[in-house]
Amino acid sequence: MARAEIIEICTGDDEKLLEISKKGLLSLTLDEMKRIQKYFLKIGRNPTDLELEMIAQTWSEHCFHKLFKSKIEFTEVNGQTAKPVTHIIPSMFSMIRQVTENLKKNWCVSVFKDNAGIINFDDTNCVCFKVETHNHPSALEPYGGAGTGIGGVIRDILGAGLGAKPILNTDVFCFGPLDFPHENLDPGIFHPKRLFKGVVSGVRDYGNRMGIPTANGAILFDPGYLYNILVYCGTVGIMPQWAVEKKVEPGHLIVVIGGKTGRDGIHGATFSSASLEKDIPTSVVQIGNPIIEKKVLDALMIARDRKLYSAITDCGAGGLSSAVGELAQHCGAEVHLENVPLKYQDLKPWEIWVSESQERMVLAVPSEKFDQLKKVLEDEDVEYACIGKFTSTKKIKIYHQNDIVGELDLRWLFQKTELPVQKAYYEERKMADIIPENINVEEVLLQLLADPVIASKEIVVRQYDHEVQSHTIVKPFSGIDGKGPSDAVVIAPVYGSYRGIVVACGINPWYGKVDPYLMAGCCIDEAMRNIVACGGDPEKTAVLDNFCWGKCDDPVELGKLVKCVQGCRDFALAYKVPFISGKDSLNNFYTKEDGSIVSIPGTLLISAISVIDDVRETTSSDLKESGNHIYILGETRRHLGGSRLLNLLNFEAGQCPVPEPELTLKIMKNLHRAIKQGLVKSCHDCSEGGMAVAISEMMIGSGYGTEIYLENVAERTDEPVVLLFSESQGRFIVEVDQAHIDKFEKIFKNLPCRRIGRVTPDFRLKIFYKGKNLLEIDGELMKKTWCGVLSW
Amino acid sequence: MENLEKSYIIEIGLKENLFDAFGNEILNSIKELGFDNFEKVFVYDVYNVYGDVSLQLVRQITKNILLDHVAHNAKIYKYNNKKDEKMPCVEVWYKKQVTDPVAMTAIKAIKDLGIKNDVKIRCGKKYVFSGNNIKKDMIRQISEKILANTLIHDYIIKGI
Repeated sequence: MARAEIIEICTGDDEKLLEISKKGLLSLTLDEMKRIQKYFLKIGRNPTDLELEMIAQTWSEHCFHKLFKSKIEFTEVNGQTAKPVTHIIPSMFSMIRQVTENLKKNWCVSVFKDNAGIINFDDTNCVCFKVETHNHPSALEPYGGAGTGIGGVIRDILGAGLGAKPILNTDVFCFGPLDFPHENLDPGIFHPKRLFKGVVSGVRDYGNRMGIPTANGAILFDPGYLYNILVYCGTVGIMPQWAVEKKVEPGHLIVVIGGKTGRDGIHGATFSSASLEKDIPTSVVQIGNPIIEKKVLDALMIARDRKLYSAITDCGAGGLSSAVGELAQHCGAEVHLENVPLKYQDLKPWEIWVSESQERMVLAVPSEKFDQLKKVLEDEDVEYACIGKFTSTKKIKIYHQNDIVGELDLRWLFQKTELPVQKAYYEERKMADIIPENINVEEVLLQLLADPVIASKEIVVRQYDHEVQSHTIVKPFSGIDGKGPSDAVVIAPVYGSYRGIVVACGINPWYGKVDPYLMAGCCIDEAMRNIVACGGDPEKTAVLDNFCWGKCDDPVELGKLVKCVQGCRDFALAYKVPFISGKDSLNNFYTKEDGSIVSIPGTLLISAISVIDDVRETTSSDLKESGNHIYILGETRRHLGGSRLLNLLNFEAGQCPVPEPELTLKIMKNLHRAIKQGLVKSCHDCSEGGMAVAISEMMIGSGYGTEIYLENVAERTDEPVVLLFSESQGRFIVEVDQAHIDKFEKIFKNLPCRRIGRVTPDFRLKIFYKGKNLLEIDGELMKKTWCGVLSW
Repeated sequence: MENLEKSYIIEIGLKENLFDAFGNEILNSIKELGFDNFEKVFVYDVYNVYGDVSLQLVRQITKNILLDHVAHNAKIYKYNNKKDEKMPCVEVWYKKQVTDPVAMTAIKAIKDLGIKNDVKIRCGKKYVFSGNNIKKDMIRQISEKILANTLIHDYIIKGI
């Protein structure tokens, strides 16, 4: 049997230290290696391979989020200052945290400390939400990578508090263009179509087999994601309020349940902190087994309600090392690795310790409860092993068949250290304002409906089971034949109760190319718009941030990230939405064979969740009845920068949308009231493609037509192209019947609320501008175009 | 493929009169790659059964665990690297060190049937192609670009 190896580091010089880090795929910097050297010199011995691996895993960017915790020396050049201004930012994480602390929402139960953000649901339950990324693994093995991505975030929910029951999955993907020519593809990467099919299949097979509805998300396409795709997976769970707190006490047994440990995913935590290159070892790939996780889920729910364990966490990145290390952080632990159930016997101790084999959870079990827990696990056919116990030594001691293979001081391991100050630089991009002239608006609208970013994702969504657990109220598609897109999903998770949650997301990397600060505002605005359009309450909405960025040791890339985080802070405060959880995935770049580097466009996903009293007081986006009036809420301005229109016409110019939180929040609160009072027949937000696309989508769901008078859209009539395709934020298209227009208009008195047209019986879109017929398109053609873009 | 075990191969495919959605999807992807000469793709689940097994046991496993009698046909044969394939085809198998969840489940099911033998299984897929003028290099390209991920899979081209 293999034993631990001693790694000679006490005598090494800088070069030797770096070589050890590089050879072991540890991703440790020279400073970190020196700290390790100092520690071991002090205790008078060399580390074992297992100890080095555990340190590397604990300190990895993936587990420790060093960059988000680092001080940043930020230099900014903008229009107002003209000269560069430098100031020190305490950390990006503190900026995000500040929002939640300042807003003091009493329904936020547990934020930024557990595996997921937890908010109150009703008198007895809480809901929790977590969104993760699984970008690198999915780029290498799309099916396995995406499957284990969703499997991993489900385990986060199982490991939140004392475990929540997963009730909803969300997924957001970014790919390269699906029609990218095969012959132009770099030999080291997969074609976007293959990645697309693999990722969707992976999420589908894992989510469906777990019996969890996958019912909200987005899919984006941009050449910037050719080399590095993005795969965001989220899960919402529900748990009793008493199960929010976990507690580890000395003497509790360490019990690992679920899958066996193999060589899968070794170095996932450290690897995800590095860039993608051509040569990748097989062992970083994980293959999911949802059947095991489903059994774990079922067993855990029984064990939790019988209070058979006192703490739980999932084995994610860093495996047992990370899970046991975190639980033992404030007390200590003694672990016997020979007790860990293995897939095959030739694993070295360090491999057992850091393996990222899937479907495993770690529990802290009071010894008197162990027999009862065993019975539950055996009844549910879940494998388990007691691998040690928690102690009060503040040390972790790891044995393998009577040999000590590792012993580390946990206070030292988890000690806050002075992280190196990062440099970031940002220069505002000046964009020429541009209004495309001489364009055929009919053609352009059809082209926009055929833009893969805008077009129907039904071919993907229908592969997911979005009805399982039978509590999905507003589904991903609505309308007479289920073709109209919904803004958000509404579920009623407690049987017999109408109380519900609304879940939606906002993402738009194209605004970020122009202005990452405004992008953050737009993403928050979009996520909240989607929530409110379906009936969600803007005052009871919480958000999650997920940053995916490129090469962050480049001050320019980091500068954009800092601006984006600042945007998150400022706009979240302005919209009064707290962040409850977040995650960053940095270093999404690819090193080509010639050494050149391709970074992804900086991408922020904002996921939003809102609790509502009654799921019957919601609405969908498809038009309901001929003769009803159509309103636009919010101001339409000349916001074409980063728009789908300019993307289509290949212009990189224009002002990207500037959110107006104060005004928008008023509109949202009033719209929420109007929906609750039943005044709104249908509602859809204006996002990619602007008002024209929003109205088209409402028609497609309904089979009704519309007549729109464009000059009524904005107070000062602007260019029709702007009115049709501007992506100004904070706007909704609302359908109201004749009987309710007075009441509706009264609610929006003194706010931008304009009646712009009617629903018509014939399935045609007619848009007039100052008495002239500007645009007329057959509804069937629009529907065929919008529905027929993505193929499997 | 040198690390495929001896003993038996079970090949399970759709009955002929049934619509093969998966095969059609693969065919579409092949056409997107630019190979218009492919006309049909037949997809089979293949299981390499080895260890403590006899032909009778393999038949029992096939009948009771792997085969859906309504939709599928099964073929069982002794593993032979040089088996003559009548049509061009490729087999895709997980590399040995990669976790094979379907195989794990199958082994569990065998135990649940009360079979005490130490049976080992590996799972794979077999794709059989028909068309005009199919060349080995085309299948190699199709394997690498659509069917197999060489990071976790081995593939063997046969019948051409």
